[in-house]
Amino acid sequence: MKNICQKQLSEAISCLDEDVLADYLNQKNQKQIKQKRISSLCKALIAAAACFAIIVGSMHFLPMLADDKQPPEAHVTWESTATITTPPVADSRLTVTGVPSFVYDGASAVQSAPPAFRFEVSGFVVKARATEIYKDTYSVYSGHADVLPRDYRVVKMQTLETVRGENMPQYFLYLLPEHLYTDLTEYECLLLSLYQKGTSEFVIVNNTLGTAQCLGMPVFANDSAEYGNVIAFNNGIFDESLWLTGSWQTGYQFGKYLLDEYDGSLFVSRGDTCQAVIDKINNESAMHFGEGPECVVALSFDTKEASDALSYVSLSDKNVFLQKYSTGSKWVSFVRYICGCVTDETVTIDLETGEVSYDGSRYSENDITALPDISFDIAKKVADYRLEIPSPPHIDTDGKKLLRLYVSGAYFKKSGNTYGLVNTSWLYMDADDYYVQYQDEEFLLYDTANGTAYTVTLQELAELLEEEMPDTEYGKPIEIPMC
Amino acid sequence: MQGASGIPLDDREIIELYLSRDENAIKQTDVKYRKFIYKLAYNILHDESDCEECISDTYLGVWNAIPPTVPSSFAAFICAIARRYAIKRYHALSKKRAVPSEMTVSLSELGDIAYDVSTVESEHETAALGELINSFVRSLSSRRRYIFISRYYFAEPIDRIASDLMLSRSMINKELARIKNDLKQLLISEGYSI
Repeated sequence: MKNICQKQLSEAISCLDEDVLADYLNQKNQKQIKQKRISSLCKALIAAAACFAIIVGSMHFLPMLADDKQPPEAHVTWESTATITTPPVADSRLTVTGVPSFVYDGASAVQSAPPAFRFEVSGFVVKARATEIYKDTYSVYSGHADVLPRDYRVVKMQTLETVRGENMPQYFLYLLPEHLYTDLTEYECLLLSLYQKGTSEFVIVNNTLGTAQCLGMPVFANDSAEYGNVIAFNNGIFDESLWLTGSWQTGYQFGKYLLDEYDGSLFVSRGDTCQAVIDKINNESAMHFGEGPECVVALSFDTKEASDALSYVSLSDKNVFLQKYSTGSKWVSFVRYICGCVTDETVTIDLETGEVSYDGSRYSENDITALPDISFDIAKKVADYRLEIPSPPHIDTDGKKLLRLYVSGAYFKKSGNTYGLVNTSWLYMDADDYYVQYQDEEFLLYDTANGTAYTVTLQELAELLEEEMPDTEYGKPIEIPMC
Repeated sequence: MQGASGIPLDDREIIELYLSRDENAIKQTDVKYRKFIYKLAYNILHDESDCEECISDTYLGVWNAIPPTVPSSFAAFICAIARRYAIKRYHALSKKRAVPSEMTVSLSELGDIAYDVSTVESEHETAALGELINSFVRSLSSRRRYIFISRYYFAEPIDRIASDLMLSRSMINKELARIKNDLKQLLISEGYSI
C-alpha cells in the first residue's frame, strides 16, 4: 500500500494537463465576463445576427434629421448590384455595399507590432495564379477593428490547388493591401495564406467611383500578407524577388535571416519547388495556431422549400442577406441587412435535409421602402467623430484612456411598427490598468410610425422591446479577467 | 511596440517574442499576466514578497521553456509553471512555519486522503499520482471539474467559487465532499493507503 502526503498530493495536482487547464481558464473567463460585462440590450435583440457592424449609405434622406448641411465625406451612395454576375457560391453575397460603422480602436491605432515572418497555416492555403488586377483602389471597412479603412487592390485569382480548406471556387478575389501593390500576374503561381472576407461583416468601397460595391465573387485576404503569407514562384522555383521589392521588404526585413540561415521555421527555402513547399506545409503541424478555415459554402438543394428560401435571400436593391456559416455546421443561416444595417430576420437552411426556418420579423417590400435610412445619420456621426471624439454620457474620462468607440445601427420590428436604432458605445480603460474598464452607451431611436427620432435610455429601450432591463452600470469599473 | 501603453499583446504574439528570443517577451508577459500569477501565488503563499519571487521564477521558467516548447495555451502554460514554483516555495516555508494561506485550508480539507506528515516520495511516484488525478479530473462533470480545479489547483476561496458558479456556499461544500469521496475511492482502488 502506498501512502500519500499532502506535499505529494499538491505536487501531483500541479501535473494537470494543459488542455484541462486551458478549458478551465476559458470557462472561468466566460463566467466572469458574463457576470461583469454590461449586457447590451441592443445586442441581445439581434443576438442571432451576432453583431450589427455594417452601417450603410442611403438612398433616402430621413426627414426628421434633415438639415441644410451637405452629406459628410464619409457618406457613400448605395449602388445597385443588379448587374453583377453571381457565381454559384452563396458567399458572393457577402460583399455588401455601404458606408462603414465607425470604430475607434485606440489600442490598435497607437500600437501595432509586426507579426513574425512566417507563412500562416491557420486559414485557407491556396496555390493560385493572378489573372487580373483591378485598376481601382478599394477601401475595406471592417466592423470590428479598424480606426480608418484600409486601402486595397483587388486581384482576380484562379485556384490551381487547394492545400488547406474546402470548396475553394475556381476563381476568387484577393485583396492586396495598396501599399504592397505589385504586379502579381508576373509570377507563374503563388502560394497564398488566406482568410475569407465576408464570414464576418465588412464593406467594400470603390475609391475611384466613391461608391460601395458588391464585387460578385468570394473575397479573400490576409492583412499580414507581407510577413511571408504570399510566396511567389517562377519557372517552378521559389522566386524571392517579390519580397525584395517595395513595401514587401517591410516584412521581409524580419524574415531575411531565417532564409539566409534556414532553420526550418519557414516553410520555404531557396531553390524549393512549389510542391516542396506544399509538402512542408502539409507535414507541419506544430505551428498551427488556428482552428481551421471558415469554408466557402456552395449551395444547391433539391427541395423546393430550400430553393424558395435561396430565392428569398437573393440580392435586391436595398437589402441583402449575409450568409453565416462556420466549418462543420449542419446549417447555414442568412441574416437580413437593410441598407447595411442588421435586422432581426434570419432564414436558416438545414444543409442535410433542406428544411427551412424563418425566424424573427419578416420585412415586406413595403416595410423596407417605408423604413428610414439610419445609415445617413451614422455617416454624419462617423464624419464628426473623426474630427472630435464625443464624450460619453456616464463616464468621467479623467485618468482614463479610450479603448474603443463604436457606432452601429440596426432595424427591428415591435408590435407591428418598425424602428431604427443607432447605438454609440464607448469603452475606456484606467490609464495605467488595462484590466479595469468602463463601458457606456447611447441610443438614438427612429420611430417610423410618427416620423421622429429621439434619444432613449436603456430602460426605455427595454420597455419598448418588452425585455428585462439588463443589469447595467454604465461608467462603473468592470474588472476584466486576466487571461 | 504594442503593449507599450499597457495594452496586452495577444498570446500568440508573446510566444513569437519568446521564440525569437526577444527579451520584450518577459515585459509583455508581465503586462498581461502579472496580476494573474500574483493572485495564483497569493492564494498559495499569502505573502507579498514570496509572491514577487514566485513571479520572477515564473518568468525565468517560461523564458527557459520557450523554445523549444510552443504552448498551445499560453495562459495554461504560465499557470502550470507558476503553480509549481509557488507549491515548491509553499512546502519549503511550511517546514519552518504554518503558512496562513487558502492553500493550507484546502489541503487540510484533503486531510482524510493525504497525511500532513511529509514522506520521501520519488518523482516517479508523484508523476504516477499526477496521471491518476489527471484522469480523475477528466472524468468529472464540467461543474465538478471547475470546482475541483478552483479549490485544489488555484486554492480559490469557497465563496469565490460559489460566486463564479452562482451557487450557494453550502452547495459548493456538498460538491466538494462528493468529489473528495470519489477521489478517495479511486485512490483506494489503485492501491493507495488512505
